[in-house]
Amino acid sequence: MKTRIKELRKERKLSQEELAAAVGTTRQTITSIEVGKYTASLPLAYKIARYFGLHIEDVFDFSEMDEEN
Amino acid sequence: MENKLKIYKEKLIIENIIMAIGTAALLAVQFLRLRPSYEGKYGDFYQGFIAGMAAGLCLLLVICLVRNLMAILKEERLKALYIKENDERRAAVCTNGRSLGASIFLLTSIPGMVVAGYFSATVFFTMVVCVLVLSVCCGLGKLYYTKKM
Repeated sequence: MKTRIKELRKERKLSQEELAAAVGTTRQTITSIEVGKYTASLPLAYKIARYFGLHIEDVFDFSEMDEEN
Repeated sequence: MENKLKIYKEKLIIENIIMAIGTAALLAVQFLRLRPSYEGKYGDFYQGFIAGMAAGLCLLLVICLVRNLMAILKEERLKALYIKENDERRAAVCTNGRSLGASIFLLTSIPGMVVAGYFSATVFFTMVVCVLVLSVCCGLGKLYYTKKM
């Protein structure tokens, strides 16, 4: 699943480590989510979106799921 | 989060007690074997192999003990260890890895069992028991999580 996490992180000058610590996960998980290898669970996706002050749909790209439907 | 860390800290303390007992028991057995009056039933190679395994296991337990102790004493390390152990991606990796490993073991053991049966009854029955135990454990695990989830 595509995300805007890297873009949002760069805007706020945050490292992966800092974001991971803020949302209670590891840097490796953030890396995997950013490159699209791993899809975050709903609680983690919510925490990340809330951290950036955005809605989940503004951080995670659900267009593929919309196309399937 | 603080409540979760408190519960996790208590879990680590219990883990440490169990590991300390295990390490002490292993070391005690090894020292008993070193007595001059001890006469091993099997050859030197076998005894050396078992002693090496026990030493490796002791070392692993001591490393885990020290890691847990450092986490219990320092809040930062406790939080870092908690995050690492409860990371969802790590849990998914472990679950998928173990599941794949168990499947590969079962798929290779069944033909291996048949081939071994032609050469050694001991090996054949050992493999039968291993395959049965793993199959039963997988089945029970599936039943448990089917009801739980």
